[in-house]
Amino acid sequence: MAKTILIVDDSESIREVVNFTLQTAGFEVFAAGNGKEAVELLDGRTIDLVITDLHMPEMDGIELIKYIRATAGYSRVPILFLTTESQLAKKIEAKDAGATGWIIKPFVPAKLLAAISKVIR
Amino acid sequence: MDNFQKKFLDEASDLVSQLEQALLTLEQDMDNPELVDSIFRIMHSLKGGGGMFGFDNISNYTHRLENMYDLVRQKKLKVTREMLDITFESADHITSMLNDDGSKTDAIKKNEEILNKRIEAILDGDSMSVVVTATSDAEDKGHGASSYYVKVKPYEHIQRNGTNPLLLIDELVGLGKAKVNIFYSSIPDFEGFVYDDTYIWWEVILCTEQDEDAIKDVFIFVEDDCEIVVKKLADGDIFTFQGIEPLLQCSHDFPFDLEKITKLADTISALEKAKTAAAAQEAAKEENKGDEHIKKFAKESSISGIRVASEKIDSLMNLVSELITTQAGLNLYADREKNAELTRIAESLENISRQLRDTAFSITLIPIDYLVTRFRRLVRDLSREVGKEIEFEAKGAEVELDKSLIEGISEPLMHILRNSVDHGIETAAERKAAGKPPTGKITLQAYYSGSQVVIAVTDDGQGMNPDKIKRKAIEKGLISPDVQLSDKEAVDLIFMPGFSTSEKVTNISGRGVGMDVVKRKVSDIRGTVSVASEPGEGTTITISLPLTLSIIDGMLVRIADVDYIIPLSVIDTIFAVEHEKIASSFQNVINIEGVQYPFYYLRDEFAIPGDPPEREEIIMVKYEDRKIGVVVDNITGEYQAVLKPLGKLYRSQDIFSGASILGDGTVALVLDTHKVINKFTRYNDI
Repeated sequence: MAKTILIVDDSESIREVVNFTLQTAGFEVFAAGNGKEAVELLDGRTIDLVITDLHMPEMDGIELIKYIRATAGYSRVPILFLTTESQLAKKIEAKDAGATGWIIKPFVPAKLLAAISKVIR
Repeated sequence: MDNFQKKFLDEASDLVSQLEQALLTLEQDMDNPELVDSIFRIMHSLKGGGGMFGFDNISNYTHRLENMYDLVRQKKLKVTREMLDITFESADHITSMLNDDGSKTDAIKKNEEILNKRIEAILDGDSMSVVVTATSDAEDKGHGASSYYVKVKPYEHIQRNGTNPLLLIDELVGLGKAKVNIFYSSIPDFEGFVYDDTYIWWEVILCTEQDEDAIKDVFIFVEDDCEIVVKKLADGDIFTFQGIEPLLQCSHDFPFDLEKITKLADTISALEKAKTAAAAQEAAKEENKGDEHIKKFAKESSISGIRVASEKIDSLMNLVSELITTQAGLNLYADREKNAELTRIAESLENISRQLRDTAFSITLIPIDYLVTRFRRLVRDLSREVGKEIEFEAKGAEVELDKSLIEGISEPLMHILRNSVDHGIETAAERKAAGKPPTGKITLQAYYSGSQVVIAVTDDGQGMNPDKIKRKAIEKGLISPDVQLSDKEAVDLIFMPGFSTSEKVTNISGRGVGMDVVKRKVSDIRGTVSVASEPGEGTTITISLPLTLSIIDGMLVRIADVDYIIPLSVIDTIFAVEHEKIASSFQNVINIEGVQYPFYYLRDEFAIPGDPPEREEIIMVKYEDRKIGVVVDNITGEYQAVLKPLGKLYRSQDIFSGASILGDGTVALVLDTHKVINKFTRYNDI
C-alpha cells in the first residue's frame, strides 16, 4: 500500500512541486495550506509522514508539530519541516518541538526524496 | 574514549619495545630492508594511533621519523649510525611522551626540539625529501573505496520524534559493503521496558566509495539524538584484507575489536603504500629487491591464529562446564527471588556464558566440510580411472567434529569411498541393463544424532550379495561351512580381518586394506561402523562417532514430575494438544493443522503410571527426513545442559545419552530422540 504523506505549506507553488514529486514517486499525498487545515485533514486519517513549512498563517509549523506530538495516534509520526539555510535558530526550535528532520529550501526532487527515505521506508 | 586511550598506551609501549628490538638488530645489519620496513610500520602505527587517541604530540613527532625511514625504504637515504642514535633516543622520547602526566612537558619539548633538528639535518642532506613528502601527501587523499568504523548508539527517546533508527542503519549499509554488530544487552527487563524507547545500538564496519561527510550525512537529523562515532579504518576495502575476517565476525553484544582491526588495517595499508612506492621506484630503477621482502613481511605479520596445547583447551572446556552448571543454579535462585535486578544480572550473565560456551566449543571443532573437498576430488579422479560416471554429493558438511576425530576419520572414509567407486557402483552399461540411470551416485551424509555424529556413505550401486560373501568367507576359512547366518550377519563378515570380496585385485581398493582396517581405525576413535546393503539397490556404510560436545542447548520437559532434556537441535516445532485428542488417535498418528504426524506417547512408552494432564505438549523432532512427535506433559523451557555420562548400570540402554544436573541439584535425563524412535518403532512395529 502506498505510504501517505501530508504536505503543509502556505505557498501553493511549493505544495504543487512537492505534490507532483511525491505522487510521481508513488506516494499518496494530502495537501494543506496551514496548520489548521492540516489538523482538520489529519482527523482520523492514517498519515505516514508530515512535511510542513514553519512560517504559515493561522497555525504555524511549530504549533502544528507540537499539536501532532500531543495527539494520540500521531505522536510518533515522522515530521519533516521545510527551512532555509539561514534559519538555524528555528531549526533547533522545531527539533525541540518534536520534528524528526528537515529539508532545506530550495530543494531539488532528489533531495526531497532522499530526506524522506531517512524517515519512512 | 578513556578506555581506548588506555589501550593505545598499552599498544604504544609494545610498539616502542618492538622498535628497540628492531633497532638493535638493524645496528648489526644496517642494510636489511625488512628491518627498515618494520621500523617504518611501527612509526606508522604510532602516528595513526596517536592521532586517533589524542596524542597529537606523538603523532607529529613520529610523522617525521616515518618520513625519514620512508626515504630509507625508497633507497634515497642510507641507514647511518647517527640515524640509529636518533631513533634510539626517539624511542625514549616517545616513552616519556606516553608517560607524561603534565609535569615534564617542558623538558620533553626541549628534548624534542633537539631531536627534530637532528632529524632535519639528516633529511636536509637529501634534496629529494621535499618531493617525496609531496607525493605521499597526494597519495593520502586516496581514490576509490575507504573503510570506516561507525558506531550508532541512539538515545532512548529517539523514536519519540518519529525517527526510526533502523532506517538510518539501512541507509548507512546502503552506502557500500558493511558488517553490522548489534547490541541488545541494555534492553531492560519487562517492568522497566518502555515500548517506544530504543535500547539497542549498532556498530558498523563499512567500506564505501563515499567520503566521511556522506556517512555523517546519514545521521544529519539525529546528531543530537544519537551517539555517533565515525572512524576511518583504512584506505581501500577492509573486507579484502588478509587475516581480517575473524576480526569482523559479528557476535551480538560483543564489540568489534577496533584496536586489532586498526592495527591490522594500518599494517596492510602501510604495506599497500609501500608496495605502490616500491612499484613506482621499480619503474625508475630496475633492480629492486625490496618488494619481495615486503611480501615476506606481509605474510609474517598477518598470521591470525595461535597454537594452544590441547590440555589448555580441555581445562577451558571443564571450566566452561562448571560455569554453566553454576549458571543454572543462579537462574533458579533468581527465578525464586523475583528480584528484577537479580533476574537481569542472571540473564545477562547467561547470555555471556552461552557465548563463552559457543566460542570455547568453536575453538575445538572443525566442520566436516574440511574433508569434503578432498573426497570430491578422490571420487572424481577414481571414477575417471575406472571409467565410471559417478556423482558425489555431501550433505551436512557443516557438521563439526573435534580436530582429532576429523584426522582419525579421514582415512577410513577415503577407503569406504574407494570401495564404493570400485565395487559398489556399476559401469554405465551394467547400470543401464539394470534399469538405473547411467550416472552412479555416492552420497556422504553427516548429521547429529543425540550424542553421536553419524557419517553415512551411501552408493546406489549393486549392493552386496550375502551368499557370495558367505561363500568367500568359507573359502578363506574365516567361518565354518555349517554356520547359519542371517543376511545381515553375512554382510557383516566384510569387517572380518582378511576379508576381501573383490574377485580381481584392482589398484584402487583391493590393496590388502580391507574393511577390517576401517573398523579398527574407527574404533580407535571410539566410533562404530555398520553396513546395510540391498542387492541391486546399493550399500550404506554408517560411521557413528561420539560427540565431543559436552554442553548442549536443550529443551527441558517434564513427564510425571521427572525432568528430561531434548536437544534443541532436533526439535522442529512444538504444539499443545488436548489429551483427549491423543487418547482418541488411531495408530499413533495425529492430525495437527491438517498434517498427519506419527507420534510416540512417552508416558506409555516409558510405562509411567498415573493420570496425564489435560493438555500435553507434542514436540516434533527431526528423524532422518521426517518429523515425528514425542508427547510430554509440559515444557519447562530452554536449558543449557552439561552432559554427564550415565553410570555403569545404565550402559545397556541407549535412549538416554546422558544426564544433566539442574539448578536445584536434581537430575534430568537427556533423551536421544533418534534412538527413542528407533527403539519404539522396532517394538511397536508400526
